[in-house]
Formats: sequence, C-alpha cells, structure tokens
Amino acid sequence: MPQTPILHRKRPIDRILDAIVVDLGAQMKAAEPAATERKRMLAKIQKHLVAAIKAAREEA
Amino acid sequence: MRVAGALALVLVACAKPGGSAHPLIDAAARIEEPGAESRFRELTEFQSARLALGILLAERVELPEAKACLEDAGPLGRFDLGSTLAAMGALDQAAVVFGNLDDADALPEWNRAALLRDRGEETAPLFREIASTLGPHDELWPFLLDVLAEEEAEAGDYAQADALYAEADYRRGM
Repeated sequence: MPQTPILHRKRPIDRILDAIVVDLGAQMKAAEPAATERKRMLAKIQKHLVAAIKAAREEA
Repeated sequence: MRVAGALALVLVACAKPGGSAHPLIDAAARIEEPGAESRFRELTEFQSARLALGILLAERVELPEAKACLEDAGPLGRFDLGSTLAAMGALDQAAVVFGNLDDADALPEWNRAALLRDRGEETAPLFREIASTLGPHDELWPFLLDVLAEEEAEAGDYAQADALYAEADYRRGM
C-alpha cells in the first residue's frame, strides 16, 4: 500500500452524488422529444438533488 | 449521513406514487445502508453507478473488482482508478492515470508526488513547492506537514520532525 496518502478534496460519497447528477443531466439531454413528462421529471429531480447536495455541504 | 438524509427527503418529494423517482436516486439515498453495492450493481448501464460500485468496492479493499468497475466508469472513475492501482502496487500505471487528471479537485500534483515517494524517489522539493501554493487554512496542511516531518526524521533532524508532527496535530484539532 502507498506510504503517502492519495488524496481527493471531496469525500467519496460527494463524488458519487456529483456523478449521479451528471448522469441524470445526460439522460435528460438524451430523452426523446416526445417524452416531455419524463424529461420534466428528470429536470425536477436533478434540480432538487443539486439543491440538497449544496445544502448538505453547507451544513457539514 | 446528512447528505444521504437530504437525498432521502428529495426522493420522498419527487417519488411518483407506487415507485421511486429514479433507481439512481433511490440507490444514492440509501448509499450508507447495507446492500448499497448490490443496488448499484443492478444499474451498471449508468456510468455513475459503475463509479459508485468501484468506490464502494475499493473501500472494502476488493481491489481487482473495483479496478474493473472504475475502468468502465470512464473519466468519472479516473481518480479512483489511480488510487486503486496505487493500492495494488501498480505505481507506474497509477502515475499515468494521475498524469491525465484534469479535475481541479483531485490534487494531481500531490498524487504524483505521493507515487514518487512510494517509489523511493526524492520528493521534498515537490512537496515544498505544493506547500507554497496552499492557503493558510488549506485542509491539505496536516497531510503535508506529516510528509515533511517524515522527510526531516529520515534526514536525522528529529527535533524539527517533532515540531512538524506537533503542528500537523494542532491543525487537525487534536
């Protein structure tokens, strides 16, 4: 194992959540034009998710 | 727990009657519960799920499987792939991966220095250069002071090493 730690400024959980937000954004862009309801839902989820992560980080 | 708790609230707010809003959100909201790996394992069509699985496996030191997941996660998994390769002793491969990092949050200079040190190469000037770029309250200081203390101890200056270790502990709030 390395003697000197390999470091990242963000915690693993934060990196996972960031990646999920990016994934949801990509899905939104890829959604069929006809799938407006699903697109709207994904946009809503992503917006809430970003706000929740931001609020939790500010609290921490 | 607070992040996961906030995500759980989002899930409740966005969920459709009879089902969760999205399986990725469901898995993220329950990331700190037992069985998190299996939930992400079922979602491997998403790169973020492969990253999550790779990180969770790496934390359990299941390194070969973690490496495979992180390789599949593409650019999202680059940092953790480098860390996993280093933990597996593949320092040269890890150096290549860290050499390609472009994430400003990932400290590529530090990680390259860490790999050089693990290969037994001279790193004091590089760590000192990194120190010159840090702000007074940078969270990296305790780690850096530990490294510099080890360098001093190896050079035989134990008084200076003790002082640096003490400063590192102070900055950790001990």
